[in-house]
Amino acid sequence: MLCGLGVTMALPWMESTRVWGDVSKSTKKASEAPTRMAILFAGCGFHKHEWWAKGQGKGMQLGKVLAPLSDFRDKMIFIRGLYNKEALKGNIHSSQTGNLLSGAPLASGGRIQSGTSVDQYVAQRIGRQNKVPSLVLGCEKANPGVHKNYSLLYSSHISWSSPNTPTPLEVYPALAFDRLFKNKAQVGDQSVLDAVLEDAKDLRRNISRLDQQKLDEYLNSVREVEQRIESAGKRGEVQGWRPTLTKPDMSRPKDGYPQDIVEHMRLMCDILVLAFQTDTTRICTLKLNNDHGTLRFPHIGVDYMIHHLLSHNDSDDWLKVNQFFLKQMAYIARRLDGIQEGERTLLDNTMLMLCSSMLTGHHDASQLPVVMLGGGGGRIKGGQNIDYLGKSDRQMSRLFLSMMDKMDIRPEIFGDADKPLQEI
Amino acid sequence: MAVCVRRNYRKERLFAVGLIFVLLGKAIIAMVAKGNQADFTELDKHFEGSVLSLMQKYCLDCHSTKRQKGELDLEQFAKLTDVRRAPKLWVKVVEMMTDEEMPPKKKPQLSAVERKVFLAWVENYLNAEALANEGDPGRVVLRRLSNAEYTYTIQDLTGVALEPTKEFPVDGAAGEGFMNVGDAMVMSPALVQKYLDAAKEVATHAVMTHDGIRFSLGRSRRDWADELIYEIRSIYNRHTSGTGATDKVYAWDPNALDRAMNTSGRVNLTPYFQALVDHRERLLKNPETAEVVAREEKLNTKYFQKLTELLTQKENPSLLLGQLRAELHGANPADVPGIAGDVTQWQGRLWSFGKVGQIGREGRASAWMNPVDSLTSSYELKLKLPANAKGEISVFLATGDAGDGGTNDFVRWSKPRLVLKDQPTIPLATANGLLARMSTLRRNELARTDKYLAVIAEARVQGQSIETFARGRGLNGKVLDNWVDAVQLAQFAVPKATGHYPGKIDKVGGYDDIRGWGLPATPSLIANKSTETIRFGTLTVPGRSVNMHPSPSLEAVIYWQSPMEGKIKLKGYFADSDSVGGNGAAWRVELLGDANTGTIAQGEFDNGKSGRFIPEQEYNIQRGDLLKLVVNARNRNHGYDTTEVALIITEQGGKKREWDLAKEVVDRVQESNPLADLFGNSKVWHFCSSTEELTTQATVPAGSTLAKWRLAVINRKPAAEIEKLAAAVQRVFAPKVGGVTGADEALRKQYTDSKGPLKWLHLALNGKILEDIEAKAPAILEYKLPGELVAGAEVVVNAALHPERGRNGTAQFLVSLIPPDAKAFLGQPMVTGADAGKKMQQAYADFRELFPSAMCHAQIVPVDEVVTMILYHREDEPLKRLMLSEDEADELDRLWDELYFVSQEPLLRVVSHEQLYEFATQDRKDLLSPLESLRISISKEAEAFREHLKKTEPIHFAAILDLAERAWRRPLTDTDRKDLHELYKTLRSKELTHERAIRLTLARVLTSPDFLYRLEKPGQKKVGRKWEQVSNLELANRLSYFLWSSMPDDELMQLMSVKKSVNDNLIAGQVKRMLRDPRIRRLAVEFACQWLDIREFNLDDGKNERLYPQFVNLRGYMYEESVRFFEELFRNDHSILDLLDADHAFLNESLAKHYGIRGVSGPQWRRVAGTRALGRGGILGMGTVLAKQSGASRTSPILRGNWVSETLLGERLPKPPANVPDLPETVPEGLTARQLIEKHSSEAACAKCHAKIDPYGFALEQYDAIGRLRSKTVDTKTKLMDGNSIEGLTGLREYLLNERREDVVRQFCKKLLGYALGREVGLSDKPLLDSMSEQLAKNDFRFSIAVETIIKSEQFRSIRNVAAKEN
Repeated sequence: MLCGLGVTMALPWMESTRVWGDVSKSTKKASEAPTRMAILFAGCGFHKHEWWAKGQGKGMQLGKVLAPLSDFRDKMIFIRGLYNKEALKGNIHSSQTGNLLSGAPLASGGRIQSGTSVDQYVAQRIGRQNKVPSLVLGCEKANPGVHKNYSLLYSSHISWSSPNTPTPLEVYPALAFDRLFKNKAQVGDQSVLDAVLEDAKDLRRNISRLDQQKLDEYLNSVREVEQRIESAGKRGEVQGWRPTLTKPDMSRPKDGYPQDIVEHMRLMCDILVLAFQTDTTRICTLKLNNDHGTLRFPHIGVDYMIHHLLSHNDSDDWLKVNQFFLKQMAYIARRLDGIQEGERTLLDNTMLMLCSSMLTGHHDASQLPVVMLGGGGGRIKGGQNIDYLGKSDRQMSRLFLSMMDKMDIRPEIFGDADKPLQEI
Repeated sequence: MAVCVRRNYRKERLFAVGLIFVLLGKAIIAMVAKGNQADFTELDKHFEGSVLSLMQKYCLDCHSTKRQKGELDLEQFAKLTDVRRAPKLWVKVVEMMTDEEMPPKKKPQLSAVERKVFLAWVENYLNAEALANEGDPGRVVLRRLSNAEYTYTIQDLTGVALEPTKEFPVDGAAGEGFMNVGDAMVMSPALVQKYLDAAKEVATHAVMTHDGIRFSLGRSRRDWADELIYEIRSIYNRHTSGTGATDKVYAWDPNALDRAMNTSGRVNLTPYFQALVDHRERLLKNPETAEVVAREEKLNTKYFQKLTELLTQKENPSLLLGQLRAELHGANPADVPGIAGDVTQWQGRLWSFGKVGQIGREGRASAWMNPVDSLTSSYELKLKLPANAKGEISVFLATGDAGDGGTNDFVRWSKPRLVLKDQPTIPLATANGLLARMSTLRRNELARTDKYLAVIAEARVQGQSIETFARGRGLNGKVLDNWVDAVQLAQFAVPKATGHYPGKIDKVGGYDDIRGWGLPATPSLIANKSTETIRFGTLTVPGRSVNMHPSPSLEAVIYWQSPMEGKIKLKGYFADSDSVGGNGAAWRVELLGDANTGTIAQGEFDNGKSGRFIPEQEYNIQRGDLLKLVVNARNRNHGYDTTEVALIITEQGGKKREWDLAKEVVDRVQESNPLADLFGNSKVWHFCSSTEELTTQATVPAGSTLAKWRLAVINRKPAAEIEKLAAAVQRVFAPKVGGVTGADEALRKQYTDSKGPLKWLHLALNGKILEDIEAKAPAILEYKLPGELVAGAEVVVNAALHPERGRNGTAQFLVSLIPPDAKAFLGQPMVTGADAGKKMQQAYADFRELFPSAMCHAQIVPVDEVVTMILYHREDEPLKRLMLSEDEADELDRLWDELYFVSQEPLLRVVSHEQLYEFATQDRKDLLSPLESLRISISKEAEAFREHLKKTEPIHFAAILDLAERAWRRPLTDTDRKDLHELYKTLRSKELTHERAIRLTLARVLTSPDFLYRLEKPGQKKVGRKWEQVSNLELANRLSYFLWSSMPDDELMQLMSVKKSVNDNLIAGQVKRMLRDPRIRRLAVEFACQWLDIREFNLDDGKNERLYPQFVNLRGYMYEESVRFFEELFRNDHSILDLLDADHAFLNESLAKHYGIRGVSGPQWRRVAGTRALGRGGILGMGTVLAKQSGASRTSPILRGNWVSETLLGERLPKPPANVPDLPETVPEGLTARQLIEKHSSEAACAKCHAKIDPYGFALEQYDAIGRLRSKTVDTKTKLMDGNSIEGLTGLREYLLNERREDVVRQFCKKLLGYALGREVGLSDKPLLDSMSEQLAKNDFRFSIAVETIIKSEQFRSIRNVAAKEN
């Protein structure tokens, strides 16, 4: 109810690596491939009757929505019953999405306040090992406006760099590609950034603390870009393990916004795979659509209505659209599984998690749809079907603690949880 | 947020006062009734009794410090001071109570009176709290420019419609739901990168000009130049005819090009003359009226004034203009086209057009349009006579008086003459008797041929001089000379080799084996001693070969001087030794000697080819005869002319010796020149050069009687035989001799020909000199000439006025074959005497001054040559002088300066010169020299331009400072300037060009937080009031970002940056101005559309395309309608009630059709009045609103109702309960959308809310999901929650306007205030909202009143102190 102003992080977060005590020494050998984390998001939930799994392992039976994943049943964990308690307060799209990956309380009214999301939390701790700390992609532009007293910023962002800062998503494939592989900073960029950084430092002196915090976002962002330019080209010292690919094996996508959603999603999936394969980043979120989504799907004959409105009825078309989303996950998994990294495949070294902000299109966030593929670097056992519904500690953030554990990050508390899920 | 407690609830409560709290409650309720008068002391007194006790009774069970249900602890509020720490929480408490959400239904409920008393206290308390902080500017977080603001600011800064944020992440909304709230303005590394990239992209649009920086939509020099050309052409086209653009003329259509060139930049004179004639009396009376007439007739004022001046001036204009003036004075309107035609003809005569593409080339016109003085003091006339002329022909020398009478026209024809090739010049006057004289001479002299031949034979035989024998024989000495030359027998006729090379040349090409003779450059002769073919440079010299190399003007020659007597045969060849380039060479072989003289063989070969000669014939030669081998450069086209030559001479009788040039020469070439042969004869080979000569012609036809005579002489036959032959020769020449053989026929023809070896014409002309002829115009002199004599000749004569008597004359001249008439003189140059010339010239010059053929070279880009070095050609002096106002002329100068600068033409010219030179080297050797001559001037110009560029560097930097000041929306400090300069210098030191450094400096300006953020300095006080006024400049920024979503313009900035205090009137004046500005459209989009949830409706994708295929084409129109509606309302300061009540709509044809409104055709937008009766006007009938608040496939009364409730009325609705049952997307068969909803809403869980919102929606049910009126009437009667019954849109509108006006107005005010302040509206804003509503009601609800109230408010003008608490 009464949302006091959260304490905005005073420490520039990009300088935070190793300052925090929750990064454990890796138990991995230097020659072993690193573990990657990818989170896929699909807004508005799934078909009411077709999101289910029965049994375990290879023999697991899957609802129609999940059918595209059937080849990967032995590398899959179907998780039922996790939820975000805070999301139930607003109980509408934006309030269910804005804290999906943090479990944090959301500010309503005119304010923006959530929590640092799990991907960014991890990126802030280990992301600097790679050229790009994390990749935040989307296949739909953000929504402006306020819905039911909650800013639609919440609906459009699952990644948050800080409690006040949703991480802008890249929706242009070409720009995402550039972010990963464009090395050549132009002569003079550095000088320009130096100069504006000085500006910001000067300006910071005479403004209120509130404004200082806001300006710090800028200051830190400029610094980060500078560092990126500085370290461009000189990859960190690689010990032992080397990625199977050092340069992109796909050409740079065309400039501009793809007209076709199939192409758009395919490009973004490819970029995700490429980012992992080249070890340009180890953390990626891909928001396949907005929670208040307006995508249409002409390629499967569902172009008469936008995604959000489709979700309100559990029709056959809705099922087709759901499957289309799951196919993206399957596509990524198949590609990752085709890349051999030592004894394991890249999929075995990855945690690929798909979730939504609600179970069905009826704003039911009392349990969230979650499915995970991949071995997490050999630390996750596939073929599981786990049901937390009805159990007491079924916070979504427990899953995040589990996932972070595989990345050797073990905070005592994350969101509203203090212990990982034992099964994972 | 429900700050205001609504009146209806208040009424209700007043009736429900109970008994228990009567005493206690009275005081409280009295306070409520009084309004905002309660003070905290009073409130404190009543806290315990009216609030604390009720809380304990009804609330603390759940909301205790221990239980904190819903995270709410009410137990903490034990005293008023506790309450005052969290006023916002108490706002929520009121909401929960009035919505009857609390206490929960299952729990004990407050009695009506308890409720009344409790709420009255809280309300009082909140009022008091609002007053206590009235005017608090509130918590405003530092605002970044939103994407929209960034875009608008860039557009206003650059003046160009750039869209730099197209690929930016979408901004979030917060506060009152707008995208200008600091909380939602995030920043991230990715975004910083985008800002940097966008700034650099914007900087690529900066155009550095000679006097600063401007911006362009284009990014290349080509684009920028095209823009300037467009502007220059616009000025040209404004005043002249023809578009001037040859861009659309295809290169393959030269006629089209000509047409364009011939029409553009011209002025049609007819309307000007028409106006002069039509308004003649008025103009003569008062020349000042020219301006008015010009305006009336839509003519160029300045030019018309100049023409009026001609018409009305007192003094006499010069000749041509004088004639024109006289014509205009006397003309009827019908005469005008004729007069204009005359002027056009004169224009054609006095101007000529050159090719722009050739300007600058040697010998070409130096301008496009050039004055022609068809006026000269003398000139040469020429007339070629027919080559087949026979009999007598006439040539006429004619003089005309040039149309001005012949009084002074004494003329002089100077040296009229006939010029024949290779012949003496014949004075024209003598030609007539010449033929007769020549015939007589010829007849007489040929009749004594035997005598001439006898003299020659005797001289020859006796080895003495001709003169000795001729003496006393009465022969014509000149005729004898000619005979001697012709038969080539006298001793002096022995041929001689001349022109020996003076020096040796060695080690040619560095090879020892190649040596020879020659001049330092060329010509030369070289021989290759080795057996190897040697290649060097471009040369290929075969082993054991002899090669000749001519110069452009000198032939290379090898002579073989015969050491023998008798018959020879010969053969050989000439071959190109240098096949790399050039045009081959020409060669010939001549025999010069007693018996035969003439060219044996000749030819030319092309590059790399050769020519061979093997005459069948045997040649009879004498000792000392010369065989001559010649090579020349062929048409003087020098280059790659080295030629291998081979020659073998074989003696036919006697010793049968053989002279092989190569064998003879290659080993011994440098022994001497001349060189002995291998048989020991000295001076056989001669290596020489000579000026180019004509081919030697044999003058004695072989086999003729003369040839026989000659052989007889040479062979010293008996005198009788020789005499007999001489007599036979004479008989050949005798008239009417039959039976002459072929050879003698030729002999006769040659020797009687006037131009033949005996040169009869020359002889006949002896002593005749060229004379001048005088005449007075008009006059025609006729000369009769003998056709056979003058066939193919040219008549040449110089014509002029007589130097004394003709001084004042003007005449024209003509030489022709037929007697000329007056018309024949048209177009002939005017020839004037010394004094008349000046007068005429003046007359022409005056005419040209006023009537240029073209006013300007309107195509600018030369298109009349395939290749040219000129990019842009400016020629518009007449236009500037005659037609342009000073401002236009200045503008034109500026544009040209800029074009010249921006295109960097001088630098480009260096490049195009180089390219052209390359081209010429390959294909146009004739251009090389003219191009070469330009090289220095071009590179000098380029150098000067580079200097100029250097000088403009500080100008550009200064422009960057100006831009920074505008972009940062505040004056620059010295540190700012220094920093920017430092950066610029740093960038230059990294070897970036000036341009790139400037662009990056600009990018830095646009990436700076000064640009990206709306920085304001908080008040610094730590005690006393919590806020302070912002500075004037900050206020200016607040104003412009509020109203324009962009930077302040110069006027606002200037007014507000004046140090002295800015008073309210001044600000109000600015606000009025800003509201009228077109930029107010942005307020329509960013505020109104965002508030009503239709922003970017043009991209709305929310409709079922199967059902509504037309929607995708209409959504843009619907959006435009809405934007235009708000824009007009704001600009014209209409009542904000027009939002509901307007009786007009903005429509185009498509939208009108969609709305079912007739009589609107065409795609253009217009304001259509009287639409209320047709169901449109105001936001309720707008397609945007109606469609946006519908489902994909059907209408949704719930959505529409909710929109009315929340968006228009600002009502707060409770959260929907969990697990709301589904509503089908499509309306089931047999139901209306309304019935469907009613079914749903009747469920108990839902009914409470739906009863409140659905009826609003039902009222709008006549409109379908895309805003069309349904063809069938549907039930739109409905009963509202407060008991009012309404029907349809009209009913809803009336209800909102009358019953709920206060709420609608207040909601509008609240949203506008939230937008203006960039934050959520809070408790402390309540008094301001009250005041806004009040002021609006008093002032016809004019929009500007709301704006002004906000702008005058403490909130808008202040900022919290730095130490203020953040909440």
